[in-house]
Formats: sequence, C-alpha cells, structure tokens
Amino acid sequence: MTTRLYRVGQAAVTIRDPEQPVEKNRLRIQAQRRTLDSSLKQHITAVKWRWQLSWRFLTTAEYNTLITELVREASMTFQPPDTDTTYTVVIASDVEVADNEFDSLDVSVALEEV
Amino acid sequence: MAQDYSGTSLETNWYKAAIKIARFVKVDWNGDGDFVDANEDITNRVLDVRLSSSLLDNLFGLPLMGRIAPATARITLDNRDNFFSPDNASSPIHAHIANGIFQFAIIVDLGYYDDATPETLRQFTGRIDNCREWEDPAGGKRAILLCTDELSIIEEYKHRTVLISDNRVDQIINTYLSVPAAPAISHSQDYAHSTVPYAGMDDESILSECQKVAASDGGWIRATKEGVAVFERMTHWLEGTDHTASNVTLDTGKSWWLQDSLSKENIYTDVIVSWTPRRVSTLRIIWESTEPIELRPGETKTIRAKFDNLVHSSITPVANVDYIAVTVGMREINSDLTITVTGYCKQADVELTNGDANQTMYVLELQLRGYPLLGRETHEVSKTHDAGILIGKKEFLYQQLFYMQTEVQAERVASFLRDFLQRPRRLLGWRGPAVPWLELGDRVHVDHKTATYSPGIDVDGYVVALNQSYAAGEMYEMQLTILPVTNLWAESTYFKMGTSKYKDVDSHALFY
Repeated sequence: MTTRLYRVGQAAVTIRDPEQPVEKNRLRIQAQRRTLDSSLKQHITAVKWRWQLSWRFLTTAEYNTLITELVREASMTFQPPDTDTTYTVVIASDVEVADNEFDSLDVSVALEEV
Repeated sequence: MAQDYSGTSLETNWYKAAIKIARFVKVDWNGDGDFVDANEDITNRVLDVRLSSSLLDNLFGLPLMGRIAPATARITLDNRDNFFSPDNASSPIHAHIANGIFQFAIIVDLGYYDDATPETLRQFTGRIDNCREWEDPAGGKRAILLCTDELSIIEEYKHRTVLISDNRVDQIINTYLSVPAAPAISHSQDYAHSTVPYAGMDDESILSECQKVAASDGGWIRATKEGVAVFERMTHWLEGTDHTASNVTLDTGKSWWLQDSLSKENIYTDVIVSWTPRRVSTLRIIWESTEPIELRPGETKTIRAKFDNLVHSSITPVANVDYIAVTVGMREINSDLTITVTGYCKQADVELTNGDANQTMYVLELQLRGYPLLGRETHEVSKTHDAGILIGKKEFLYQQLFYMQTEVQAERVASFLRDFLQRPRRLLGWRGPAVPWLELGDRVHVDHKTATYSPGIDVDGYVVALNQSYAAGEMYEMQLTILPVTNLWAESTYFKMGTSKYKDVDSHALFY
C-alpha cells in the first residue's frame, strides 16, 4: 500500500497511509424534479469520489511531509492506499490538526475529485 | 428546421427518469476554424450555460415582424487559475487573449448520455462579445462569456453596393450576405414571394438591411443553431414536415411547468401598411465638388462623392461640361486628366490622375451627372378586421420600410397581418427537460388534458422562443414559448403548384 499526494504536474510525494479503513463516498452531482404528473426526472452531471482521511500518531517528519501538501492552494494528484489509480482532487475541507496524548499529531481532511 | 438526431437515442432519452447530461463547450482561440487544438475544449471549466433565442419582436411581443435579435449565450467558467485572465502571462492561451476575450468563435453542444456514449447536438454557434471576470470573498474566481450568434458577424459590418434592380427578396439577401469583403457566413434563403424594384446598401449594417428586406416580404432572417443565416419566407411554416407535423409531444409526464397567457395587448382592428414606389428621374447633377481639387504632377486622388438620393446610374464626366482641368496659370490641360468613376447606389469613388509629369493640376467645377431614384408619394394599404373580436378601433401601423415599394408587397403583408392580429394570440409557456433537436419555428404538440379545465390544452404550436439552461448539479432545462397553430392562418390549406388541383369546389385557397 502506498499513498501519494502532490501538486498536479509535480514530482510524486509519498505520504503516510491514512487510518484504515479509508472512508470514501461516491458523490452524485445531480438534480431532480417532478413533472406535472408527479413522475420524477433526475439529471446527473457527474459522479465523483470523496475521501474522508485521517492520520493518527504522526511523527514530526511524517506530519511535515503531509501538511506541506495539504496547505497547497492548487489541484492535487491523489493516489489512495488501496489502488494504483490516481485522481485529480482538491482539498475539500478544513485541515484539522490535533495533539494527542502520545505527544504526536493527528490530522484529518477531506479530498474531493475535481 | 429541427436538427437531425438520427443514429442517436435522444428521442427517448430526453425524458428518461434518470439520465446523465452530455456537454461540450469549445472556443477557437487560434482562429483556424476548428475546435480541436490545445485548450480549445473548455468543457471542464464550465459551471453554467444559458442560451436564449427568440422570434418574438422586442417591441410588439409577437413574431413575424422582421426584427429578430440574434441569439445569445451566457457561459460561466471556473477561473480560479486565471486561465481566462488577459493579464495573466502564464495562461496557456495568453498569446491569443492578451488583447481581451472577444470575437472568438464558440460552440456549445448539449445532449444526454446513452449509457456511456455522449450524444449531443449543436445548441449554439457564435462569437464571444465580452468576457467579465469576477471574484467572490470565498475565493471563487469566475469568468463569464457573453456571446451572440453568427448574425453578430454581420451586425456591425457596414457595406455599400450598386443599385440592385428587380431582384427577389431572397436574391437581394443573397447579394448582401455574399459581399466579398465581409466576414464569411453560411447562408440559405427560401424563394421569396416579392420582387423589389430597387435595393442597395449605402454603408449600412448588413444584418439590419437583411432584416428590413426580409420584413418587406413578410419573412425574417435568423441564425440556426449550427450558425447558418437563413431567410424564411412568410409561408415557411406552411411548408416542410418540421412545421406541418409535430416534432415532439410535450405532455404532463414530460413537463414541470406550463403557462397559458392570452391578452388583448397584441390584437388590432386595422392594419395599415405603407409603400412608396420609386422612379428613375431624368439626367441631372447628382454631386458637385465644393472646391477646386489640386493634383501634383503624376498624383492620383480618390474622392468619395456622396449623393442625396439613390442613383440608378451615372455617366462618365465630360470635359468642359463636368469639369475643367487647368494649370496654376489657368491654361486648360483636360487631356492630362484621367477620371475613373466607380459607382455605388448612393455614392461613388471618383479617381483623378494628373498625367502631366511636370505641372500641378487644378480640377475646377467637378460634378457628376446621373439618373437619381426618386420616391413618389407614399401610398397605404389598409385592412380591417372581420372576426369582430375587438371592439372599437386600434390600428397597427407598418410603415417606413424602404424596401416596401410595390402595392402587391403591401397588400400581401397587410392581409396576412390583418388575419394574424385580429385575434388575441394565446402564448403557451413550457418548461421541462431539454429537447435537444428543437429549433425556432418547429412545430410541437402540447398535451395537458388532465390537469387543466376540461378539455384542457391539446394543441399544436410553433416554438417562437427557446431558452436553455444547464449547470453542474442542476437540471438541463428547456423553456419554450409556443404560438398555437389554431387560427394562425385564415385557411387550413393553400394552393401548391404541382400538388393542389384547380377545380370548382374544394380547391386549395390562394395565398395572400
């Protein structure tokens, strides 16, 4: 298992694998409306992935590598730990950082496919 | 004319319960006439598309008055990386947009997926007029393209022609749209009903003149979704299966909004159409130079002579009658002067060349003689209602059309307008999932028998306004304004050469 996160078009950066199991959702970009006879019509623009990732007990080196990529204001390339496929994503939530009882850092963030 | 959707599943997919939207938006940044080069497909940046086209006259709110505005597109784009910012030297398209984003050709294709295959039809072909950039506090950067259809190419292009005599309306439009120096635009014309004795452009907008000459035949000019300028004559909707048979049924299972409006706003008791015949006058002076013209040795000068009236033809200037060329010492040197006149309908380019290699020439009292076209007194054709629906008197005036020059033109237009305007016209508003192949003028069937007062709406009508909207996470919606066919024409069938039969009873009626 290898997890990578880096700016699109730049050199790949390997980060520590997130906590397992990785939570991921299939987002439906869609709208729906009922017609005059009450039947439902649904128009789908696209279906995209969204990952809710968290890391626990990061060392300082692991944290620095991860946070460098998470604060970028750009489209990112993401390779989830469970696949060799890469996705173009954006950071879709606040990056939450917390100290834990073992004097290391926990991080959580959501990534969303563009 | 409805677009060809053969080979696709659009006919059944457009009203499916769940369907994926297919869309492509492309800009010809390098102006090479295709949309396949790098960065020309901007689909992935599109946030919102709104398309609007209409046959409704802005002033009167009904179609068939000739003055049809070009279709428009408003496209909102994701510009977080300043791709569409002319000041961004790092933009991949900077070399093309450094002076601003305008005049670029743009196309919009929309439709639906058939399983994994996108099936789209061209919904807009036009030019970008303007690009607005904006940024909101949350960090969203957007660019909005404001576009008009292919008619915008000829809207601002002004041109002059020679006088055109005894041409049909479609021939005149063809001449105007085929001006060699004008931007190329594909076009096709119906065979017009009217012949116009005299026509011509004098540095006027090609589109404006095409609209005026089309109106004089009771027709109109518009651009199709594919970007073809078409002249459609008064009987266009009586011909062709797209207008004589319904292209789609819009029933309650395929609609989410229906409006029925009926007002007295567009009903009149009388129609008055004026026409002004023109005649060619006797030979007379059509232009005079206000001052002597100096030509240095060997010099050539071109003077633009502007006339007060349209001119049928002019004669080559004659020495000692139309000019005299002299030296500074007033010695006559007419033989050294060469004059070439290139005439247009209301102006001429007069090229003067001093053939003397040593002496400055002065051309005195230069004038042009010709046969101007004079307007005679204006006549009116008046038609009064016979349906007796509106009480009182309310006149519709259709006047000041230069191309309305014969009584038969005025009679035809007045009779049609009388029948069209003497009844209140119901306009149906409809919204539902987009029907990608519909064009302006197409016939549709509106079936809403169940949810309205019995017997409800169950009519055929023509699409006279067509709006579409699409955005990520929204419905791909079409909004139509539909003019019911009922009573639109005084007769149900008109005589067609080669089809109808001449007989005592049940012969088809003659058109106006």
